[in-house]
Amino acid sequence: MVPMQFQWNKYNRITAGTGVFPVLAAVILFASGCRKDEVIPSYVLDIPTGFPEMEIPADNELTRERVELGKKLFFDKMLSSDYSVSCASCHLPEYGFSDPEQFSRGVGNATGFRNSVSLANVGYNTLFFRDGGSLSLELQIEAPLTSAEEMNMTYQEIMERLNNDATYPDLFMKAYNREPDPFSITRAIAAYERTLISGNSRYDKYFYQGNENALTESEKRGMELFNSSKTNCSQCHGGFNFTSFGFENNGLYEFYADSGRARITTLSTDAGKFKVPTLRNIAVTAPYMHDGSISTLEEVIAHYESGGKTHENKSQFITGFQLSSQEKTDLINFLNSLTDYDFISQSGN
Amino acid sequence: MKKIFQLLPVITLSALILTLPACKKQGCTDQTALNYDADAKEDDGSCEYSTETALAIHFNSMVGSENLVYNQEYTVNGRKLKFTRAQFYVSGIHLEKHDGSHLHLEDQYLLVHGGAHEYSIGNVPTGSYHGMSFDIGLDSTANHSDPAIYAADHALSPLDANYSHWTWNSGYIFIRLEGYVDTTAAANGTANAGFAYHVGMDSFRRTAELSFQKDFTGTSSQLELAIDWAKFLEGIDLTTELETHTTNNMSLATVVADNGPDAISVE
Repeated sequence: MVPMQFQWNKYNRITAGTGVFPVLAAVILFASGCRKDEVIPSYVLDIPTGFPEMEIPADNELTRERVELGKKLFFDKMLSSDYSVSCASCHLPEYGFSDPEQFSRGVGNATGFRNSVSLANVGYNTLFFRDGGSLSLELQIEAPLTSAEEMNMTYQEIMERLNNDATYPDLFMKAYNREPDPFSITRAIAAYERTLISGNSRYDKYFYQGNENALTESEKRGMELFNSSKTNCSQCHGGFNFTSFGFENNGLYEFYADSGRARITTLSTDAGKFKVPTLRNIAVTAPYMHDGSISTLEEVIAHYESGGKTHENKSQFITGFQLSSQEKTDLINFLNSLTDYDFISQSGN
Repeated sequence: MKKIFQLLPVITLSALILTLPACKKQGCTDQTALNYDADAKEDDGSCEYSTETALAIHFNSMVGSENLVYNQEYTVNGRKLKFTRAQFYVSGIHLEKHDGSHLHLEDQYLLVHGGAHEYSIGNVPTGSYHGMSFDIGLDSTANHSDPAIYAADHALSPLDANYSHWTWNSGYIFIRLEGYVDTTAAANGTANAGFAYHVGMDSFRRTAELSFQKDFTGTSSQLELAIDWAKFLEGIDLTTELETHTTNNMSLATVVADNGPDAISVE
């Protein structure tokens, strides 16, 4: 113990009211705090059979007003400097909320260096971006909003546009009881993104909903192959969301132009590792890999069949295998059964 | 009835005082006192003093012995150089009183940037101080917090004009120095090659320790500190080492971070 340690916020000017005011202030703050922060989570997520509950942060409980505001923002091109792109421009619903372009186009047709990820079940992730650089769904939103290659905005500019809009100020007040600001903007978009749940593919109907006939015989054989030690697919792409939520080097290159996870951790053991993506809706989320360098599922399987390039960080499960042409067809048929048509037929309206 | 008799001397005395000729108005004549009376001519010992003072740190931005002005040319490491941006985040402010007691200002964060600016660090107990320390950079909790949670006037708010966050990585850019330098071999060209030193990760936080003798009294006090931004660049080869975003050039970021504490001095 350091002698005579002053406690910063307890050290107040001595006045007649010292005894009463802090207590009174605390009571007032507590009382108003109760009323303001206690949001009844009125929006109930439709969690598919077989899926775990989703963790919702305490400062962003879901309400219909929040989700609807977030959805409006997600599809609004007003959030980009030249009004040309919205979040949905690079996360298109019909492509499983991903982008068919190798590198998405931001304002002025600018491009980044990684392929846009699918947002299916993104609310279950704990780390965001392909390298896991962002720690929450709320926190990651600032990057696309402000990146010069994406939406190229500042919060000040976004706030000005939203405040001058006919409907947004009211929607923000109803959803968050505050004006559009970094807090309410990021929370609203994150609230909507948590509703992007995909769990109603034919695979789900077969595996979780007990419909024996939902998959064809070929797809069932493909599922067996997927889960087998022959292909090792499910070692990384297992579980309800077809991902370990981890980071792996899949032997795509001997030398990686993009260091992946190591860009965040600076560890050489993380070089060339990227977040294992979900395979849900994989048939519609081409191109594949962190850099969108592979355009078809056939080529992806050929890559894993070959065992990939030599790399010290390559996953131990990628050792190569050989499939007959029937087996390849079965495996691809199975992957195609992961498409959730309810999910990809959503619109911004 | 008995009470009146007890109070009689008091009443009499009061009446006496009140009826005395008001040749000199009495009161507190010390301007630093809380109840200073500008009309009082004679101090009656009634002065009441604040037990705390609103402390502000005044940072003067220098490049060597000259004041820093953005886009103005200076000579740094023997080369023409101009800054377009110079800033760092401060956390962990710690003051030490002459009597050996300590004060930790745990919730105080500053975003110190080029030019001469004053940064309020709130109220501290009045008294004699003989040192302070602060971190250039943020503690891990603040560093990985969501900037959107801070009020608009908070140093860590995204609405601060000098806000610097990686965004692609969850953390703030502790130190950010940008500008142009002459990279010609003979150092006889112009300052036209861009440099950008962006330093920030938990392990790049550095502590600046300062000694001084200052009495912080009255309702407000000021501490004058100087930042020599050129010192951040000491030991850097300005012909080749022009850029770090920390994770892509850890060694260069380390040099800049390590230089930080030496760049701060008491005026």
